[in-house]
Amino acid sequence: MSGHDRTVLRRLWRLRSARVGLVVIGLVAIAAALGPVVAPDAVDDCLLAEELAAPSGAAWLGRDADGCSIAALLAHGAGLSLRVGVAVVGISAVLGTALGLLAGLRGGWTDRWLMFVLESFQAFPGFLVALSILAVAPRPSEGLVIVALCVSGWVGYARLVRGQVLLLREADWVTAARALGHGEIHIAVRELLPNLVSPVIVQATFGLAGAILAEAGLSFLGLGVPPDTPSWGSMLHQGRSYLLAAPWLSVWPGIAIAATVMAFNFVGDALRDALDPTLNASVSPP
Amino acid sequence: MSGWLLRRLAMLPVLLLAVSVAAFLLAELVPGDPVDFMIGENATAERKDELRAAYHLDDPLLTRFVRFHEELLSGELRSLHTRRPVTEVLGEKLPHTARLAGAALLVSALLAIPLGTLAARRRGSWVDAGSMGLALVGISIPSFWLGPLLIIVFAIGLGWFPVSGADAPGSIVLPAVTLGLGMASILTRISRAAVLDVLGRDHVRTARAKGLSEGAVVRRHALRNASIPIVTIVGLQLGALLTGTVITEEIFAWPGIGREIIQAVRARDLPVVQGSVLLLAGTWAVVNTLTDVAYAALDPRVRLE
Repeated sequence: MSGHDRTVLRRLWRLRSARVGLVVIGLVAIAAALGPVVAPDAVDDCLLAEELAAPSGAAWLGRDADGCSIAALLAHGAGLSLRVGVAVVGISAVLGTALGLLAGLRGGWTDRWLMFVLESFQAFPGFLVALSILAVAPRPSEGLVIVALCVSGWVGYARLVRGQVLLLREADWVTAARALGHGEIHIAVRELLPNLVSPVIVQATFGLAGAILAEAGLSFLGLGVPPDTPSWGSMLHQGRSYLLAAPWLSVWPGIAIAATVMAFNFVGDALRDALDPTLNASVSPP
Repeated sequence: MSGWLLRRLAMLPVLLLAVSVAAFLLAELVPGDPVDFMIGENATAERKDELRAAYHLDDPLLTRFVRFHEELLSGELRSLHTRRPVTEVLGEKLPHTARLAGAALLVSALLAIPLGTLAARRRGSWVDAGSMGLALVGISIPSFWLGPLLIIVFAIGLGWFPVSGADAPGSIVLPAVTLGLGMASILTRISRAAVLDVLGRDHVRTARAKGLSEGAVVRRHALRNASIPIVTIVGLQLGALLTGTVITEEIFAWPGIGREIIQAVRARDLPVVQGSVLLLAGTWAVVNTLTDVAYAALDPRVRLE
Protein backbone atom coordinates (compact mmCIF):
# COMPACT_ATOMS: atom_id res chain seq x y z
CA MET A 1 0.00 0.00 0.00
CA SER A 2 1.48 3.31 -1.05
CA GLY A 3 1.44 6.48 0.98
CA HIS A 4 -1.23 7.94 -1.27
CA ASP A 5 -3.50 4.93 -0.70
CA ARG A 6 -3.10 5.32 3.04
CA THR A 7 -3.99 9.02 2.86
CA VAL A 8 -7.09 8.17 0.86
CA LEU A 9 -8.13 5.49 3.36
CA ARG A 10 -7.58 7.86 6.27
CA ARG A 11 -9.68 10.56 4.59
CA LEU A 12 -12.35 7.98 3.88
CA TRP A 13 -12.51 6.73 7.46
CA ARG A 14 -12.81 10.28 8.76
CA LEU A 15 -16.26 10.62 7.14
CA ARG A 16 -19.05 9.18 9.24
CA SER A 17 -21.13 8.16 6.20
CA ALA A 18 -18.17 6.25 4.78
CA ARG A 19 -17.60 4.43 8.08
CA VAL A 20 -21.28 3.43 8.23
CA GLY A 21 -21.16 2.29 4.60
CA LEU A 22 -18.00 0.23 5.07
CA VAL A 23 -19.40 -1.43 8.19
CA VAL A 24 -22.64 -2.37 6.40
CA ILE A 25 -20.72 -3.75 3.41
CA GLY A 26 -18.52 -5.70 5.84
CA LEU A 27 -21.57 -7.19 7.56
CA VAL A 28 -23.10 -8.19 4.22
CA ALA A 29 -19.82 -9.82 3.19
CA ILE A 30 -19.61 -11.72 6.50
CA ALA A 31 -23.20 -12.93 6.07
CA ALA A 32 -22.42 -14.02 2.53
CA ALA A 33 -19.31 -15.92 3.68
CA LEU A 34 -20.92 -17.54 6.72
CA GLY A 35 -24.32 -18.32 5.15
CA PRO A 36 -23.27 -21.42 3.22
CA VAL A 37 -21.25 -22.67 6.24
CA VAL A 38 -23.89 -22.19 8.95
CA ALA A 39 -26.92 -23.05 6.82
CA PRO A 40 -25.70 -25.09 3.85
CA ASP A 41 -29.21 -26.27 2.98
CA ALA A 42 -31.14 -23.01 3.25
CA VAL A 43 -33.42 -24.04 0.42
CA ASP A 44 -33.66 -27.82 0.84
CA ASP A 45 -33.81 -28.02 4.60
CA CYS A 46 -37.12 -26.25 5.21
CA LEU A 47 -39.98 -27.05 7.53
CA LEU A 48 -43.08 -26.90 5.40
CA ALA A 49 -45.23 -27.33 8.51
CA GLU A 50 -43.90 -24.03 9.80
CA GLU A 51 -44.68 -21.99 6.69
CA LEU A 52 -45.00 -18.25 7.33
CA ALA A 53 -43.94 -18.71 10.98
CA ALA A 54 -43.41 -15.35 12.69
CA PRO A 55 -39.95 -14.37 13.95
CA SER A 56 -39.10 -16.47 17.00
CA GLY A 57 -36.20 -18.04 18.86
CA ALA A 58 -35.89 -20.91 16.39
CA ALA A 59 -36.10 -18.79 13.24
CA TRP A 60 -35.31 -15.31 14.42
CA LEU A 61 -36.37 -13.52 11.24
CA GLY A 62 -39.33 -15.83 10.61
CA ARG A 63 -40.00 -18.36 7.86
CA ASP A 64 -41.23 -17.91 4.30
CA ALA A 65 -44.11 -19.61 2.46
CA ASP A 66 -42.06 -22.79 2.01
CA GLY A 67 -41.06 -22.89 5.66
CA CYS A 68 -37.47 -21.82 4.92
CA SER A 69 -35.59 -19.70 7.46
CA ILE A 70 -35.53 -16.11 6.24
CA ALA A 71 -32.23 -15.43 7.98
CA ALA A 72 -30.58 -18.30 6.08
CA LEU A 73 -32.12 -17.19 2.78
CA LEU A 74 -30.92 -13.61 3.40
CA ALA A 75 -27.37 -14.82 3.98
CA HIS A 76 -27.40 -16.86 0.77
CA GLY A 77 -28.98 -13.93 -1.06
CA ALA A 78 -26.17 -11.68 0.20
CA GLY A 79 -23.69 -13.97 -1.53
CA LEU A 80 -25.62 -13.81 -4.77
CA SER A 81 -25.94 -10.02 -4.66
CA LEU A 82 -22.22 -9.54 -4.05
CA ARG A 83 -21.20 -12.13 -6.66
CA VAL A 84 -23.42 -10.57 -9.33
CA GLY A 85 -22.41 -7.03 -8.35
CA VAL A 86 -18.66 -7.74 -8.37
CA ALA A 87 -18.80 -9.76 -11.59
CA VAL A 88 -20.90 -7.20 -13.47
CA VAL A 89 -18.78 -4.27 -12.30
CA GLY A 90 -15.50 -6.14 -12.83
CA ILE A 91 -16.27 -7.20 -16.38
CA SER A 92 -17.90 -3.88 -17.33
CA ALA A 93 -15.08 -1.77 -15.86
CA VAL A 94 -12.28 -3.76 -17.52
CA LEU A 95 -14.02 -3.86 -20.90
CA GLY A 96 -15.12 -0.22 -20.72
CA THR A 97 -11.67 0.99 -19.63
CA ALA A 98 -9.94 -0.93 -22.41
CA LEU A 99 -12.30 0.40 -25.09
CA GLY A 100 -12.21 3.93 -23.67
CA LEU A 101 -8.38 3.88 -23.70
CA LEU A 102 -8.37 2.59 -27.26
CA ALA A 103 -10.81 5.26 -28.48
CA GLY A 104 -9.12 8.11 -26.62
CA LEU A 105 -5.56 7.21 -27.58
CA ARG A 106 -6.11 6.16 -31.18
CA GLY A 107 -8.53 8.95 -32.09
CA GLY A 108 -9.59 9.23 -35.74
CA TRP A 109 -11.74 6.47 -37.17
CA THR A 110 -11.25 4.13 -34.23
CA ASP A 111 -12.63 6.79 -31.93
CA ARG A 112 -15.49 7.72 -34.23
CA TRP A 113 -16.48 4.10 -34.73
CA LEU A 114 -16.32 3.27 -31.03
CA MET A 115 -18.30 6.38 -30.16
CA PHE A 116 -20.92 5.32 -32.66
CA VAL A 117 -21.19 1.87 -31.06
CA LEU A 118 -21.32 3.52 -27.65
CA GLU A 119 -24.11 5.90 -28.61
CA SER A 120 -26.07 3.05 -30.18
CA PHE A 121 -25.81 1.11 -26.92
CA GLN A 122 -26.95 4.19 -25.04
CA ALA A 123 -30.08 4.22 -27.15
CA PHE A 124 -31.27 1.32 -25.00
CA PRO A 125 -32.21 1.59 -21.36
CA GLY A 126 -29.94 -0.88 -19.52
CA PHE A 127 -32.67 -2.54 -17.50
CA LEU A 128 -34.77 -3.07 -20.63
CA VAL A 129 -31.80 -4.66 -22.40
CA ALA A 130 -31.21 -7.10 -19.55
CA LEU A 131 -34.91 -7.85 -19.35
CA SER A 132 -35.15 -8.57 -23.09
CA ILE A 133 -32.12 -10.85 -23.05
CA LEU A 134 -33.48 -12.83 -20.12
CA ALA A 135 -36.89 -12.93 -21.80
CA VAL A 136 -35.63 -14.94 -24.77
CA ALA A 137 -33.15 -17.05 -22.81
CA PRO A 138 -33.92 -20.78 -22.64
CA ARG A 139 -33.51 -21.00 -18.87
CA PRO A 140 -32.44 -18.49 -16.24
CA SER A 141 -29.05 -18.69 -14.54
CA GLU A 142 -26.74 -16.52 -12.47
CA GLY A 143 -24.24 -16.29 -15.32
CA LEU A 144 -26.91 -15.12 -17.72
CA VAL A 145 -28.01 -12.35 -15.35
CA ILE A 146 -24.38 -11.19 -15.16
CA VAL A 147 -23.99 -11.20 -18.95
CA ALA A 148 -27.33 -9.44 -19.43
CA LEU A 149 -26.29 -6.64 -17.07
CA CYS A 150 -22.81 -6.32 -18.62
CA VAL A 151 -24.23 -5.76 -22.11
CA SER A 152 -25.05 -2.16 -21.26
CA GLY A 153 -22.84 -1.89 -18.15
CA TRP A 154 -19.53 -1.19 -19.94
CA VAL A 155 -20.80 1.91 -21.72
CA GLY A 156 -20.49 4.30 -18.77
CA TYR A 157 -16.88 3.26 -18.08
CA ALA A 158 -15.88 3.59 -21.73
CA ARG A 159 -17.35 7.10 -21.92
CA LEU A 160 -15.68 8.15 -18.64
CA VAL A 161 -12.26 6.76 -19.57
CA ARG A 162 -12.32 8.18 -23.10
CA GLY A 163 -13.06 11.63 -21.72
CA GLN A 164 -10.22 11.38 -19.21
CA VAL A 165 -7.78 10.12 -21.85
CA LEU A 166 -8.63 13.03 -24.16
CA LEU A 167 -7.61 15.38 -21.33
CA LEU A 168 -4.56 13.45 -20.18
CA ARG A 169 -2.98 12.55 -23.50
CA GLU A 170 -1.86 16.14 -24.06
CA ALA A 171 -0.19 16.33 -20.63
CA ASP A 172 3.51 17.08 -20.52
CA TRP A 173 4.56 13.81 -18.95
CA VAL A 174 2.78 11.88 -21.71
CA THR A 175 4.52 13.98 -24.35
CA ALA A 176 7.78 13.27 -22.52
CA ALA A 177 7.09 9.53 -22.61
CA ARG A 178 6.43 9.80 -26.35
CA ALA A 179 9.64 11.74 -26.86
CA LEU A 180 11.53 8.99 -25.05
CA GLY A 181 10.27 6.64 -27.74
CA HIS A 182 7.75 4.66 -25.73
CA GLY A 183 5.01 2.93 -27.70
CA GLU A 184 1.25 3.29 -27.41
CA ILE A 185 0.87 0.28 -25.12
CA HIS A 186 3.49 1.61 -22.69
CA ILE A 187 1.76 5.00 -22.66
CA ALA A 188 -1.66 3.46 -22.13
CA VAL A 189 -0.60 1.09 -19.35
CA ARG A 190 2.19 2.94 -17.58
CA GLU A 191 1.35 6.62 -18.10
CA LEU A 192 -2.44 6.83 -18.44
CA LEU A 193 -3.89 3.86 -16.58
CA PRO A 194 -2.61 4.88 -13.11
CA ASN A 195 -4.42 8.20 -13.53
CA LEU A 196 -7.63 6.51 -14.57
CA VAL A 197 -7.87 4.25 -11.52
CA SER A 198 -9.46 6.85 -9.23
CA PRO A 199 -12.41 7.89 -11.40
CA VAL A 200 -13.04 4.28 -12.44
CA ILE A 201 -13.07 3.12 -8.80
CA VAL A 202 -15.58 5.81 -7.87
CA GLN A 203 -17.82 4.87 -10.78
CA ALA A 204 -17.44 1.17 -9.94
CA THR A 205 -18.63 1.78 -6.38
CA PHE A 206 -21.84 3.37 -7.65
CA GLY A 207 -21.94 0.60 -10.26
CA LEU A 208 -22.02 -2.04 -7.50
CA ALA A 209 -25.09 -0.38 -6.01
CA GLY A 210 -26.72 -0.26 -9.45
CA ALA A 211 -25.93 -3.89 -10.31
CA ILE A 212 -27.24 -5.18 -6.96
CA LEU A 213 -30.42 -3.15 -7.43
CA ALA A 214 -30.83 -4.39 -11.02
CA GLU A 215 -30.36 -8.06 -10.08
CA ALA A 216 -32.91 -7.71 -7.29
CA GLY A 217 -35.32 -5.98 -9.69
CA LEU A 218 -34.98 -8.72 -12.30
CA SER A 219 -35.44 -11.44 -9.68
CA PHE A 220 -38.43 -9.53 -8.26
CA LEU A 221 -40.02 -9.72 -11.71
CA GLY A 222 -39.26 -13.45 -11.81
CA LEU A 223 -36.74 -13.05 -14.64
CA GLY A 224 -33.48 -13.23 -12.71
CA VAL A 225 -31.83 -16.27 -11.18
CA PRO A 226 -33.55 -19.71 -11.16
CA PRO A 227 -36.40 -20.06 -8.64
CA ASP A 228 -34.40 -22.34 -6.30
CA THR A 229 -31.56 -19.81 -5.91
CA PRO A 230 -32.13 -17.57 -2.88
CA SER A 231 -32.17 -13.95 -3.97
CA TRP A 232 -33.31 -10.81 -2.16
CA GLY A 233 -35.40 -9.86 -5.18
CA SER A 234 -37.23 -13.17 -5.43
CA MET A 235 -37.84 -13.11 -1.66
CA LEU A 236 -39.62 -9.77 -2.13
CA HIS A 237 -41.52 -11.30 -5.03
CA GLN A 238 -42.86 -14.03 -2.75
CA GLY A 239 -43.49 -11.54 0.05
CA ARG A 240 -45.89 -9.55 -2.10
CA SER A 241 -48.50 -12.29 -1.80
CA TYR A 242 -48.34 -12.15 2.00
CA LEU A 243 -48.06 -8.42 2.66
CA LEU A 244 -50.58 -8.49 5.51
CA ALA A 245 -50.41 -12.09 6.71
CA ALA A 246 -46.61 -12.21 6.99
CA PRO A 247 -45.02 -8.78 6.47
CA TRP A 248 -41.61 -10.08 7.64
CA LEU A 249 -41.31 -11.78 4.24
CA SER A 250 -41.06 -8.33 2.65
CA VAL A 251 -39.49 -6.30 5.44
CA TRP A 252 -36.14 -8.09 5.84
CA PRO A 253 -35.07 -8.50 2.21
CA GLY A 254 -36.18 -4.91 1.56
CA ILE A 255 -34.01 -3.64 4.40
CA ALA A 256 -31.12 -5.78 3.14
CA ILE A 257 -31.31 -4.33 -0.39
CA ALA A 258 -31.82 -0.73 0.71
CA ALA A 259 -29.02 -0.87 3.32
CA THR A 260 -26.53 -2.48 0.94
CA VAL A 261 -27.29 -0.11 -1.91
CA MET A 262 -27.13 2.86 0.45
CA ALA A 263 -23.80 1.63 1.84
CA PHE A 264 -22.23 1.51 -1.61
CA ASN A 265 -23.66 4.96 -2.42
CA PHE A 266 -22.23 6.34 0.85
CA VAL A 267 -18.80 4.89 0.13
CA GLY A 268 -18.92 6.07 -3.48
CA ASP A 269 -19.70 9.63 -2.39
CA ALA A 270 -16.97 9.55 0.22
CA LEU A 271 -14.43 7.99 -2.14
CA ARG A 272 -15.02 10.76 -4.63
CA ASP A 273 -14.26 13.30 -1.93
CA ALA A 274 -11.26 11.39 -0.63
CA LEU A 275 -9.71 10.77 -4.03
CA ASP A 276 -10.25 14.29 -5.28
CA PRO A 277 -10.66 16.90 -2.57
CA THR A 278 -11.19 19.63 -5.15
CA LEU A 279 -14.46 18.06 -6.24
CA ASN A 280 -17.67 18.96 -4.50
CA ALA A 281 -19.75 15.91 -3.72
CA SER A 282 -23.09 17.20 -4.76
CA VAL A 283 -24.03 15.43 -7.95
CA SER A 284 -24.69 11.74 -8.28
CA PRO A 285 -24.53 9.87 -11.56
CA PRO A 286 -28.03 9.45 -12.99
CA MET B 1 -27.51 25.60 -36.16
CA SER B 2 -24.07 24.31 -35.38
CA GLY B 3 -22.42 21.16 -36.64
CA TRP B 4 -22.73 19.56 -33.24
CA LEU B 5 -26.49 19.98 -33.16
CA LEU B 6 -26.89 18.72 -36.72
CA ARG B 7 -24.76 15.68 -35.95
CA ARG B 8 -26.83 14.96 -32.85
CA LEU B 9 -30.07 15.21 -34.81
CA ALA B 10 -28.69 13.13 -37.68
CA MET B 11 -27.83 10.43 -35.16
CA LEU B 12 -31.49 9.99 -34.20
CA PRO B 13 -32.63 8.03 -37.29
CA VAL B 14 -29.53 5.84 -36.95
CA LEU B 15 -30.37 5.15 -33.30
CA LEU B 16 -33.96 4.35 -34.18
CA LEU B 17 -32.70 1.95 -36.85
CA ALA B 18 -30.46 0.29 -34.22
CA VAL B 19 -33.46 -0.02 -31.91
CA SER B 20 -35.57 -1.67 -34.59
CA VAL B 21 -32.76 -4.03 -35.58
CA ALA B 22 -32.40 -5.06 -31.95
CA ALA B 23 -36.14 -5.61 -31.53
CA PHE B 24 -36.16 -7.75 -34.68
CA LEU B 25 -33.10 -9.75 -33.63
CA LEU B 26 -34.73 -10.55 -30.31
CA ALA B 27 -36.80 -13.20 -32.09
CA GLU B 28 -33.69 -14.56 -33.81
CA LEU B 29 -31.96 -15.01 -30.46
CA VAL B 30 -34.58 -17.47 -29.22
CA PRO B 31 -32.88 -20.85 -29.30
CA GLY B 32 -34.49 -23.75 -31.13
CA ASP B 33 -36.50 -24.06 -34.31
CA PRO B 34 -39.68 -21.94 -34.24
CA VAL B 35 -41.43 -24.66 -36.24
CA ASP B 36 -40.77 -27.20 -33.49
CA PHE B 37 -42.27 -24.69 -31.10
CA MET B 38 -45.42 -24.43 -33.23
CA ILE B 39 -46.24 -28.07 -34.00
CA GLY B 40 -43.87 -30.10 -31.84
CA GLU B 41 -40.62 -31.87 -32.66
CA ASN B 42 -42.26 -35.09 -33.84
CA ALA B 43 -44.01 -33.63 -36.88
CA THR B 44 -42.97 -34.95 -40.29
CA ALA B 45 -40.26 -33.18 -42.23
CA GLU B 46 -42.71 -32.29 -45.03
CA ARG B 47 -45.13 -30.67 -42.63
CA LYS B 48 -42.26 -28.66 -41.10
CA ASP B 49 -41.10 -27.49 -44.53
CA GLU B 50 -44.66 -26.52 -45.36
CA LEU B 51 -44.95 -24.36 -42.25
CA ARG B 52 -41.53 -22.88 -42.80
CA ALA B 53 -42.59 -21.83 -46.30
CA ALA B 54 -45.94 -20.52 -45.07
CA TYR B 55 -44.26 -18.30 -42.47
CA HIS B 56 -41.35 -17.37 -44.81
CA LEU B 57 -38.86 -18.59 -42.20
CA ASP B 58 -36.30 -19.55 -44.83
CA ASP B 59 -36.13 -16.10 -46.37
CA PRO B 60 -32.91 -14.11 -46.04
CA LEU B 61 -32.48 -12.12 -42.81
CA LEU B 62 -32.86 -8.76 -44.54
CA THR B 63 -36.14 -9.77 -46.22
CA ARG B 64 -37.53 -10.89 -42.88
CA PHE B 65 -36.32 -7.68 -41.23
CA VAL B 66 -38.27 -5.59 -43.74
CA ARG B 67 -41.32 -7.85 -43.44
CA PHE B 68 -41.25 -7.59 -39.62
CA HIS B 69 -41.71 -3.84 -39.87
CA GLU B 70 -44.30 -4.09 -42.64
CA GLU B 71 -46.33 -6.47 -40.53
CA LEU B 72 -45.89 -4.41 -37.40
CA LEU B 73 -47.05 -1.19 -39.04
CA SER B 74 -49.93 -2.77 -40.99
CA GLY B 75 -51.24 -4.42 -37.84
CA GLU B 76 -50.52 -7.93 -39.12
CA LEU B 77 -48.04 -8.63 -36.34
CA ARG B 78 -50.27 -10.14 -33.69
CA SER B 79 -50.02 -11.40 -30.16
CA LEU B 80 -49.46 -15.16 -30.14
CA HIS B 81 -52.14 -15.63 -27.50
CA THR B 82 -54.91 -13.08 -28.01
CA ARG B 83 -54.32 -12.73 -31.78
CA ARG B 84 -54.83 -8.98 -31.42
CA PRO B 85 -52.56 -6.70 -33.49
CA VAL B 86 -49.52 -5.60 -31.47
CA THR B 87 -50.05 -1.97 -32.48
CA GLU B 88 -53.59 -2.10 -31.10
CA VAL B 89 -52.43 -3.58 -27.78
CA LEU B 90 -49.67 -1.00 -27.40
CA GLY B 91 -51.92 1.87 -28.47
CA GLU B 92 -54.27 0.92 -25.68
CA LYS B 93 -51.50 0.69 -23.04
CA LEU B 94 -49.39 3.72 -24.01
CA PRO B 95 -51.71 6.44 -22.58
CA HIS B 96 -51.62 4.75 -19.17
CA THR B 97 -47.82 4.65 -19.13
CA ALA B 98 -47.59 8.25 -20.31
CA ARG B 99 -50.03 9.36 -17.60
CA LEU B 100 -48.06 7.51 -14.91
CA ALA B 101 -44.71 8.90 -16.10
CA GLY B 102 -46.16 12.42 -16.21
CA ALA B 103 -47.60 12.15 -12.71
CA ALA B 104 -44.32 10.76 -11.37
CA LEU B 105 -42.44 13.65 -12.98
CA LEU B 106 -44.81 16.10 -11.33
CA VAL B 107 -44.39 14.44 -7.92
CA SER B 108 -40.61 14.57 -8.15
CA ALA B 109 -40.46 18.16 -9.40
CA LEU B 110 -42.83 19.39 -6.69
CA LEU B 111 -40.76 17.64 -4.02
CA ALA B 112 -37.26 18.14 -5.30
CA ILE B 113 -37.03 21.73 -6.53
CA PRO B 114 -38.31 23.42 -3.33
CA LEU B 115 -36.31 21.01 -1.14
CA GLY B 116 -33.11 21.45 -3.15
CA THR B 117 -33.49 25.24 -3.19
CA LEU B 118 -34.10 25.32 0.54
CA ALA B 119 -31.06 23.12 1.18
CA ALA B 120 -28.91 25.46 -0.93
CA ARG B 121 -30.16 28.58 0.85
CA ARG B 122 -29.50 27.07 4.26
CA ARG B 123 -26.23 25.47 3.27
CA GLY B 124 -24.59 23.59 6.15
CA SER B 125 -27.67 23.73 8.37
CA TRP B 126 -29.69 20.75 9.57
CA VAL B 127 -32.19 21.42 6.76
CA ASP B 128 -29.39 20.90 4.26
CA ALA B 129 -28.03 17.78 5.94
CA GLY B 130 -31.53 16.37 6.41
CA SER B 131 -32.65 16.84 2.83
CA MET B 132 -29.40 15.45 1.45
CA GLY B 133 -29.74 12.45 3.77
CA LEU B 134 -33.31 11.94 2.60
CA ALA B 135 -32.15 12.13 -1.00
CA LEU B 136 -29.55 9.43 -0.43
CA VAL B 137 -32.12 7.19 1.25
CA GLY B 138 -34.52 7.83 -1.63
CA ILE B 139 -31.97 6.72 -4.24
CA SER B 140 -31.24 3.52 -2.36
CA ILE B 141 -34.77 2.31 -1.65
CA PRO B 142 -35.85 -0.02 -4.43
CA SER B 143 -39.26 0.79 -5.93
CA PHE B 144 -40.26 -2.85 -5.59
CA TRP B 145 -39.96 -2.46 -1.83
CA LEU B 146 -41.32 1.06 -1.50
CA GLY B 147 -44.42 0.14 -3.54
CA PRO B 148 -45.57 -2.72 -1.28
CA LEU B 149 -44.80 -0.61 1.84
CA LEU B 150 -46.98 2.21 0.51
CA ILE B 151 -49.72 -0.32 -0.23
CA ILE B 152 -49.58 -1.66 3.35
CA VAL B 153 -49.75 1.80 4.92
CA PHE B 154 -51.91 3.91 2.61
CA ALA B 155 -54.08 1.37 0.79
CA ILE B 156 -54.66 -1.43 3.28
CA GLY B 157 -54.00 0.36 6.57
CA LEU B 158 -55.49 3.82 6.05
CA GLY B 159 -57.64 2.94 3.05
CA TRP B 160 -56.90 6.27 1.35
CA PHE B 161 -56.07 4.85 -2.07
CA PRO B 162 -56.92 1.69 -4.00
CA VAL B 163 -54.44 -1.22 -3.77
CA SER B 164 -54.05 -1.62 -7.53
CA GLY B 165 -55.53 -0.98 -10.95
CA ALA B 166 -56.24 2.31 -12.71
CA ASP B 167 -60.02 2.62 -12.50
CA ALA B 168 -60.59 4.50 -9.23
CA PRO B 169 -59.87 8.25 -9.21
CA GLY B 170 -57.04 8.14 -6.63
CA SER B 171 -55.38 5.07 -8.05
CA ILE B 172 -52.54 6.97 -9.73
CA VAL B 173 -51.22 8.47 -6.47
CA LEU B 174 -49.33 5.51 -5.01
CA PRO B 175 -47.73 4.38 -8.30
CA ALA B 176 -46.74 7.97 -9.10
CA VAL B 177 -45.12 8.42 -5.67
CA THR B 178 -43.34 5.06 -5.96
CA LEU B 179 -41.97 5.92 -9.39
CA GLY B 180 -41.29 9.60 -8.65
CA LEU B 181 -39.42 9.31 -5.37
CA GLY B 182 -36.23 7.88 -6.85
CA MET B 183 -36.13 10.66 -9.40
CA ALA B 184 -36.96 13.24 -6.74
CA SER B 185 -33.84 12.17 -4.82
CA ILE B 186 -31.57 12.75 -7.79
CA LEU B 187 -33.34 15.99 -8.68
CA THR B 188 -33.02 17.35 -5.12
CA ARG B 189 -29.23 16.96 -5.26
CA ILE B 190 -29.06 18.53 -8.72
CA SER B 191 -31.30 21.46 -7.70
CA ARG B 192 -29.21 22.12 -4.60
CA ALA B 193 -25.96 22.07 -6.58
CA ALA B 194 -27.40 24.26 -9.34
CA VAL B 195 -28.83 26.87 -6.95
CA LEU B 196 -25.62 26.91 -4.87
CA ASP B 197 -23.62 27.51 -8.02
CA VAL B 198 -25.79 30.44 -9.07
CA LEU B 199 -26.04 31.97 -5.58
CA GLY B 200 -22.28 32.54 -5.63
CA ARG B 201 -22.32 34.53 -8.87
CA ASP B 202 -21.91 38.28 -9.32
CA HIS B 203 -25.39 39.05 -10.62
CA VAL B 204 -26.89 37.57 -7.46
CA ARG B 205 -24.65 39.76 -5.33
CA THR B 206 -25.79 42.74 -7.37
CA ALA B 207 -29.41 41.77 -6.88
CA ARG B 208 -28.83 41.55 -3.12
CA ALA B 209 -26.92 44.82 -3.10
CA LYS B 210 -29.78 46.70 -4.71
CA GLY B 211 -31.95 45.60 -1.78
CA LEU B 212 -34.07 42.82 -3.21
CA SER B 213 -35.55 40.47 -0.66
CA GLU B 214 -33.88 37.07 -0.41
CA GLY B 215 -37.03 35.39 -1.75
CA ALA B 216 -37.03 37.60 -4.84
CA VAL B 217 -33.31 36.97 -5.35
CA VAL B 218 -33.84 33.24 -5.29
CA ARG B 219 -36.97 33.25 -7.42
CA ARG B 220 -36.00 35.80 -10.05
CA HIS B 221 -32.25 35.48 -10.27
CA ALA B 222 -31.10 32.15 -8.91
CA LEU B 223 -33.80 29.65 -9.90
CA ARG B 224 -34.06 30.98 -13.43
CA ASN B 225 -30.37 30.36 -14.07
CA ALA B 226 -30.37 27.11 -12.15
CA SER B 227 -33.15 25.80 -14.38
CA ILE B 228 -30.75 24.77 -17.16
CA PRO B 229 -29.10 21.84 -15.37
CA ILE B 230 -32.41 20.99 -13.71
CA VAL B 231 -34.24 20.75 -17.04
CA THR B 232 -31.45 18.63 -18.48
CA ILE B 233 -31.57 16.15 -15.64
CA VAL B 234 -35.36 16.01 -15.89
CA GLY B 235 -34.99 15.11 -19.57
CA LEU B 236 -32.33 12.50 -18.91
CA GLN B 237 -34.33 11.03 -16.06
CA LEU B 238 -37.44 10.80 -18.22
CA GLY B 239 -35.77 7.88 -19.95
CA ALA B 240 -35.02 6.20 -16.62
CA LEU B 241 -38.61 6.89 -15.62
CA LEU B 242 -39.80 4.91 -18.64
CA THR B 243 -37.87 1.82 -17.54
CA GLY B 244 -38.99 2.39 -13.97
CA THR B 245 -42.58 2.02 -15.15
CA VAL B 246 -41.93 -1.67 -15.83
CA ILE B 247 -41.51 -2.49 -12.14
CA THR B 248 -43.98 0.07 -10.80
CA GLU B 249 -46.75 -1.01 -13.17
CA GLU B 250 -46.16 -4.62 -12.22
CA ILE B 251 -46.48 -3.82 -8.48
CA PHE B 252 -49.70 -1.84 -8.82
CA ALA B 253 -51.22 -3.81 -11.72
CA TRP B 254 -51.21 -0.55 -13.67
CA PRO B 255 -52.38 -1.39 -17.22
CA GLY B 256 -49.48 0.19 -19.13
CA ILE B 257 -46.67 -0.90 -21.47
CA GLY B 258 -44.38 -2.02 -18.63
CA ARG B 259 -46.85 -4.49 -17.24
CA GLU B 260 -47.63 -5.64 -20.77
CA ILE B 261 -43.93 -6.45 -21.35
CA ILE B 262 -43.69 -8.53 -18.19
CA GLN B 263 -46.85 -10.44 -18.95
CA ALA B 264 -45.73 -11.03 -22.52
CA VAL B 265 -42.32 -12.24 -21.33
CA ARG B 266 -43.94 -14.69 -18.92
CA ALA B 267 -46.30 -15.95 -21.62
CA ARG B 268 -43.44 -16.09 -24.19
CA ASP B 269 -45.54 -13.80 -26.39
CA LEU B 270 -42.60 -12.63 -28.50
CA PRO B 271 -44.36 -10.23 -30.93
CA VAL B 272 -45.72 -8.22 -28.00
CA VAL B 273 -42.28 -8.17 -26.31
CA GLN B 274 -40.70 -6.98 -29.56
CA GLY B 275 -43.31 -4.27 -30.06
CA SER B 276 -43.02 -3.00 -26.49
CA VAL B 277 -39.22 -2.96 -26.56
CA LEU B 278 -39.33 -1.07 -29.85
CA LEU B 279 -41.74 1.47 -28.42
CA LEU B 280 -39.93 2.02 -25.08
CA ALA B 281 -36.40 2.12 -26.54
CA GLY B 282 -37.56 4.31 -29.41
CA THR B 283 -39.16 6.80 -27.02
CA TRP B 284 -36.01 6.76 -24.89
CA ALA B 285 -33.85 7.61 -27.95
CA VAL B 286 -36.14 10.45 -29.00
CA VAL B 287 -36.35 11.90 -25.46
CA ASN B 288 -32.57 11.78 -25.02
CA THR B 289 -31.99 13.53 -28.33
CA LEU B 290 -34.57 16.22 -27.57
CA THR B 291 -32.94 16.78 -24.16
CA ASP B 292 -29.56 17.31 -25.75
CA VAL B 293 -31.04 19.71 -28.29
CA ALA B 294 -32.97 21.62 -25.62
CA TYR B 295 -29.81 21.83 -23.50
CA ALA B 296 -27.87 23.31 -26.40
CA ALA B 297 -30.69 25.75 -27.13
CA LEU B 298 -30.81 26.91 -23.50
CA ASP B 299 -27.08 27.13 -22.95
CA PRO B 300 -25.06 28.47 -25.90
CA ARG B 301 -21.78 27.34 -24.29
CA VAL B 302 -22.62 23.70 -25.02
CA ARG B 303 -22.59 24.36 -28.75
CA LEU B 304 -19.07 25.76 -28.67
CA GLU B 305 -17.53 22.59 -27.26
